[in-house]
Amino acid sequence: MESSLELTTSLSGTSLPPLRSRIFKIIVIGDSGVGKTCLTYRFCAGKFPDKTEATIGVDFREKVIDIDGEKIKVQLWDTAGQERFRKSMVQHYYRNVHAVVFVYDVTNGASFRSLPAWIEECRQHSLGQEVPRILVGNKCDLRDAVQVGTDVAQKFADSHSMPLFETSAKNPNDNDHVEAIFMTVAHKLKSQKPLVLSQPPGADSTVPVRKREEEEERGPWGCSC
Amino acid sequence: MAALQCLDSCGVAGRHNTATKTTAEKWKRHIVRQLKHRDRSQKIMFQDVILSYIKLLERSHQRTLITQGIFGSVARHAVTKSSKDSLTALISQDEATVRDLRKTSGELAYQVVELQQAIRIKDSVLEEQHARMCEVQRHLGAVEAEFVGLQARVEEVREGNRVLKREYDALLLRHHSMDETYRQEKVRGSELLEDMIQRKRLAAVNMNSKNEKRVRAREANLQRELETAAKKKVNIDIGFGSMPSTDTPSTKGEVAEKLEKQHGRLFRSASATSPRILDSIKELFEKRRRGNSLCSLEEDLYAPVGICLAARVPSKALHILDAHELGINAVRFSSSSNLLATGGTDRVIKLWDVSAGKLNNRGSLDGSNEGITSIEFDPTGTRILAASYDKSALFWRLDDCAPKFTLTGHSRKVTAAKFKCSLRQVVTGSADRTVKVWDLHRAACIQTIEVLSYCSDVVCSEYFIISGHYDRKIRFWDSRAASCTQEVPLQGKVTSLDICPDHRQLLSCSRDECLQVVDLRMSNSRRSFRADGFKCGCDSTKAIFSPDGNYLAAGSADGAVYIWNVNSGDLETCLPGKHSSSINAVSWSVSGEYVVSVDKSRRAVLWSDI
Repeated sequence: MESSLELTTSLSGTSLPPLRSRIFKIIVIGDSGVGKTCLTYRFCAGKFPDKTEATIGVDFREKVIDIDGEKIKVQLWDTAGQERFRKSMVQHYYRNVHAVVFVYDVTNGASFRSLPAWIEECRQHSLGQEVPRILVGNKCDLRDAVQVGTDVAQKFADSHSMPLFETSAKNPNDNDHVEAIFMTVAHKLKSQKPLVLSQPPGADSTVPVRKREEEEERGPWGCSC
Repeated sequence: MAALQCLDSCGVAGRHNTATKTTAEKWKRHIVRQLKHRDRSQKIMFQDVILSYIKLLERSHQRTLITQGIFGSVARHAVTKSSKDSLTALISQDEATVRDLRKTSGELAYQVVELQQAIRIKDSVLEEQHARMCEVQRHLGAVEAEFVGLQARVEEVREGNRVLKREYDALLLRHHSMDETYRQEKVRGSELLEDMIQRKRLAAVNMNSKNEKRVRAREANLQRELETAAKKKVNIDIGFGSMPSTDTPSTKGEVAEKLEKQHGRLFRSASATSPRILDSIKELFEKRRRGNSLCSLEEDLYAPVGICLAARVPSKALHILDAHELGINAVRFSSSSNLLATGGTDRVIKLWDVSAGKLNNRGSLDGSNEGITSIEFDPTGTRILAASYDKSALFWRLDDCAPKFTLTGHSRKVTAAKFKCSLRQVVTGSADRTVKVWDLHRAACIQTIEVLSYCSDVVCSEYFIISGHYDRKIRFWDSRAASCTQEVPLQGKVTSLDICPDHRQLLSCSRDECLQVVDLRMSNSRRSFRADGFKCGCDSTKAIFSPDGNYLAAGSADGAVYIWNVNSGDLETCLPGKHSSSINAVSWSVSGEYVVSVDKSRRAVLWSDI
C-alpha cells in the first residue's frame, strides 16, 4: 500500500514539475467491511490485498492516470466505515471533494440498506448536486451469496440518479472493470468545468456561503439594468 | 439378729450407692463386731439360766418318752387286741397321706419338668441373643473399620480441598492481575486509537490543504498565463469574455476600485446610458467577490466584500412586525444583504431573512445574560459580534447558536463591539471608561485604553480607534501606541459613531439633535446635519451612513426615520408614522436596497423604495 503510494507520488513528481497536474479528490464511503479498502487498493496497486484490517480514519491512495493526453492525479480517500474510527474527521472527508463513490456489499443486505444514511451524510455536508456520485456493489464474485439483486440496486441508483456498477475487487478478471469504474469518474470530472474550490478555505459554516453563491447568481446590486 | 437384718437391709440400700459402698462395708464390719461383742457379754449373764433350762428341757423330754413308751406298749396291746379298725383307720390315714404326698411329688415333678423346659427355652433364647450379639459386634467392627476409612478419606478430601483452595487463590490473584493488565491494555489501546485517529485527521487536513494549495497554485499559474494572454488583447470586453473561470482578485479589484474612484457616484446615471460598461463592471465586482470568498477568511486582512454602487432611498414600509419581546436596541445587516440581525433588551439576537419584502425569522442566538447593546457582522457575514449589558461582548458563528467566545473584563456595560480591520481582533467600548482590544484567537484582552469618559460607541479604522463619549467629545486613538491623537468637541453627548465604507468620513450623532460628518483626512472640515422634528431619542441612538456613503440615516424620538443627502446637506426624506415610539437604531443593507429601523417598543420596520 505504502509502496504504491510512494510510487505514484514519485511518478507525479517527476513527470510534471512546473505546471502541476490536476488532482481529483474522490472519497469512497460505505459500511464497514464492504471492501472499500480492497477496491481502492485494487485500483491503485492493480491487485487484491492479501489481508486488510479495519481502516482507521482514512487512507490515501493516489494514482496518476492519463486522460486524453492529460496526466491527472486521482486521489482516493479510503474512509473508515466504522463509526468510531471516523466520527471526528467526517468534515475533512467532504472538504473540496470532487466525487463520491458509495460502496455496498452485494452479499450483505444491510450494507445496501444503509446507503440512504450515507447519502444523507453527504447532503448534510452540503455537497452540491454537481459533485458526481456513483454506486458500486462489491463482491459480486460470490454469486451464491448474493442478497442484493441488480434490479433493486439499479432502481435505487436510478432514484438517486447515480450510475451503478457491480464488480469484485477480488476477481482477477475484473481488473479492468475496477479501473474502468474509476476512469469513468475521472472522465466525468475532467469533462466538467475547470475546477475551482467549491468552498472558501477555513469556512466551517456552509450556510452563509451557499447563500452568498445564490446571491451572486441573482445579482445583489439591484440595478435594473 | 434383727439389728443384723436391718444392717443387711441397710447394706442393700447402701449397695445402690456405689460411691458409699466401701464406707458402708466398713461400717458393717464395725457394727457386726460391736453386736457380737454385746452378744457375748450379755450371753454370759444368762449362760447358767440357759444351761439349766436346757437340762430341764432334756429331762422333761425323757420323761415324756418314758411315759409314751409305757402308753405305747399298752396301746399296741390294745390295737392288736382290741381295735383293728383304728389300725385300718391309721393305714387309710397314712395311705391318704401317701397319696397326698405322691400327688404332691407328682406335681413337683411336673413342675420340675416344666421349669426345665423353661430353662431350655431360656437357654435357647440366651443363645440366640448371644449369637445376635456376636453378629452385631461383628457388624460394629465392620462399621468401625468403615468409619475409620471414611475419616481417613475425609482428611484426604480436606487436604485436597486445601490444595485446591490454594490453587484457586493463586489463580484468582493471577486473574486479578491479568484483568488489571487487560484493562490497562484496553485503555492504552483506546489511547493509541485516539492518537491514530488524531494523526489521521491531521493527515486529512494536510492533504486537504495540500490539495487546496495545489489548486490555488494551478489557478495562479493559469491566471498568470491568462494575464499575459490578456495583455495582448485590446478590446476589454473580449478580454473579460476570455476569462470564463479564473479569478482575478487582486488586479481586477484594483481596476474596479480605480474605476469607482474616478467615476465617483456617477454609476447611477451610467446605468441608464451605458449598460454595457456597467455590465462589465458588475462582472468585475462579482469576480472580485468570488475571489474574496475564496481567500478572505484565511487572510487576516480586511477586504470589503461588496461595494454598493448606489443606495436607494427608501420610501415605503414593506413589512412591520413586533420582532422581540422587549425594546430593540440594535440592528445590523450582514454583508450578504439579505441576512439581518436584531438585538434587544430581551437578551436574544434574532436572525432574519429578507425575502419577498418580508422579514422571516431564521433563528436566534442566545448566550447574553442581559440586553444587547450593539451588533456587528464580520465582512464575510458568517460571524456576529454583540455587546451586552452584562459587561461582556459575545462572539458567535452563525452555524452555532451558542456563543463561541464571551469576552469578559469590562466592569460596566459594554456599549459597542467592533471587528478590527484585521479580523482577528475586536474592539469594545464600555461605560467603565475603557476601550479594550481583544484577540479572538486567544479570546483574551490584549490592550486596555483608558478613555477618560463614558464611552458610548467605538469604530475602528486601520490604525486608529475612534470613540464617542458622554463628555461631548470624539477621541482618536492610535491603536499601536494607545495614545489619544486627536479630540473633536461636540455640543452634546455622543450617542453613536459610524464610519463611511471608504473610511474617509466619520458620522457622529449627539444629544444636541445634530449629526456631524467629519472628514477623516482633514478633521477640521466638519458638516452638521439637522432637521426640523429630528430629536435624538436616547443616549444610544444610532445614526448610519448608507452603504455608498451618499446618505445618512437616523431614527428620531418621534418615530420617524430621517435621511439626509451628504453631498447636498439637505434632508432627503422623512418617513414618519410607522413607529409609535422612539427609534433606537437603523441599518442599511449593503446592496443599498433595504433599510430596517427598530424602536423601543419592540417594533421593526423594513423599508424600501419599491
